[in-house]
Amino acid sequence: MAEAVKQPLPVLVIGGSMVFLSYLITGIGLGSVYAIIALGYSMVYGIAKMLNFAHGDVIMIGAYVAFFALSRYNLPAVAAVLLAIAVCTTLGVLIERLAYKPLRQATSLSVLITAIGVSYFLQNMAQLLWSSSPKIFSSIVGNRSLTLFDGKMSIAYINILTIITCIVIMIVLTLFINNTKIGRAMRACSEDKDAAKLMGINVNKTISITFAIGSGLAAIASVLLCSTYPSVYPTLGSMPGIKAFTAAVFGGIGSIPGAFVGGLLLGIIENLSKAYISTQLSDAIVFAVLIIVLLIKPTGILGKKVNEKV
Amino acid sequence: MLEIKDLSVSYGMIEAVKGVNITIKDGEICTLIGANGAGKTTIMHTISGLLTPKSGQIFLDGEDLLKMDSEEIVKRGVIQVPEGRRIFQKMSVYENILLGAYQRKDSYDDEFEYIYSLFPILKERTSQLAGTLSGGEQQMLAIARALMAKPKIMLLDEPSMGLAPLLVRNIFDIIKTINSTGTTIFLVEQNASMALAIANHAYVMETGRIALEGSGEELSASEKVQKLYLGG
Repeated sequence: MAEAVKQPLPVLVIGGSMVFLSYLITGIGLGSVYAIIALGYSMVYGIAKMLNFAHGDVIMIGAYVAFFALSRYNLPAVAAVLLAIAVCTTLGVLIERLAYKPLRQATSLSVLITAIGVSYFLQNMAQLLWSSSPKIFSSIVGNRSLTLFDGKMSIAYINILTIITCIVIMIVLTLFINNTKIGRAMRACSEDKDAAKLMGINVNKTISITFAIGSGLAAIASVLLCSTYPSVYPTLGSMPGIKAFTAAVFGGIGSIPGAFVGGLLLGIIENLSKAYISTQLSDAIVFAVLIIVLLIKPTGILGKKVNEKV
Repeated sequence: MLEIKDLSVSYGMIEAVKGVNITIKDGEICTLIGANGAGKTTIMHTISGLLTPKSGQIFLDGEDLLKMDSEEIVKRGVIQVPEGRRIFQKMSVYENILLGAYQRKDSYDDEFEYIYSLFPILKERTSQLAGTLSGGEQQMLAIARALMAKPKIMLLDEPSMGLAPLLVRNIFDIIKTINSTGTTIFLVEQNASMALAIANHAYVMETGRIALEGSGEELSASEKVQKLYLGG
């Protein structure tokens, strides 16, 4: 996060309530990125019942792919994003096949440790391939801002793009999960894998699809994140990864609207804390709020518990 | 139609099923009764491909089911209504029914009509979350869900569990109705009297082995069964 903190806030502000509004919008922008990443954690947790701690590092790989596509090969932004999505989706499915699938019957602790191992593997691989010195990412929408209220307030275009992207993803994904056959299969696997098998659902395939979707979203998040905080380095994914994981727990892990609400709240709380309380303390405040929420509602804001009837 | 040959299944060191032979004929109701922990559910899970046995064979019309995964087994029309119903509680009644037809590529409108005629209550509750149904309604949903797959053979694991006597009778009548349309039934039960009353053929299982075998009437009349399972 140290890297992110050093960056100037992408909103220029003049005037009291306008200042608050600007901080709020920047917070929503940051929160939207957390929400998109949180989806990956939440869906994988919901269906495979595991915490994929390598998810943050998939973001990092996506960032490098987009960086090379944009800066070295001068591809258009859309092509760079699509390429990053393709690479991350493949990587996500590959990680699941090679590292997690053989451990389907193992204890959750073994899977967790494996995930941490995959995370370090990806970070070290990036360091070896691309060195640890940060690369400067050029924003896909430039550094322009939208000016409002006779110049009293300006919002960076990347913020607007991030928020819109997040909303579109949430809507499309919710429709997909609720209304398609694959979506139904995913929810069935999430609830009871053996019962899903008895329906003829291929549980392994369903888990692969979940990893593919989560990793594809990580690629989108990486481009949005690096367009806001423009440096690419091997441990880039760790902090946003942990924050997004927190957001997922905050909103209720396993729930898609939960990831959305959790991500947004986390981004807003973090940004307002930075603005009004203390930059150094902002993370502590975020986690303090998380602890309070979990004390009051252990399943997270939108997490549900269905009692079993015998 | 379904032939289980010398089946042994273990959980680690514990052998739950020890060399079991069961033959289920086309169109009949075959029942397997026995006390809790006798290994009945283990056999059911093995047929559906949820468990891999230590040894033995399971044939469906000559095809070896043990070479297939659960998805393939469902495609062959071997459909299980599992113990404890295992309906998807967080999904609607309608979605549960749809999931039953997951492997179907053809139209299943007829099955919809059929299950709503068998269980009119489910039609009233299509949009309700399945977890909010009563125990009896959940059992009906579990059976309806299985019927959507157009089963050749339906495996029912303790459908009477936890239900009031009147509902048990109701469920058994429905099992008979389903059987009368040509679906073979393999019924696992602890409620021996009800199961034996509708079964063409029956097996009694004790600690992993088949102890007795015969027609439903024969076993109902057997002194041993009366003493151990029918409270006589």
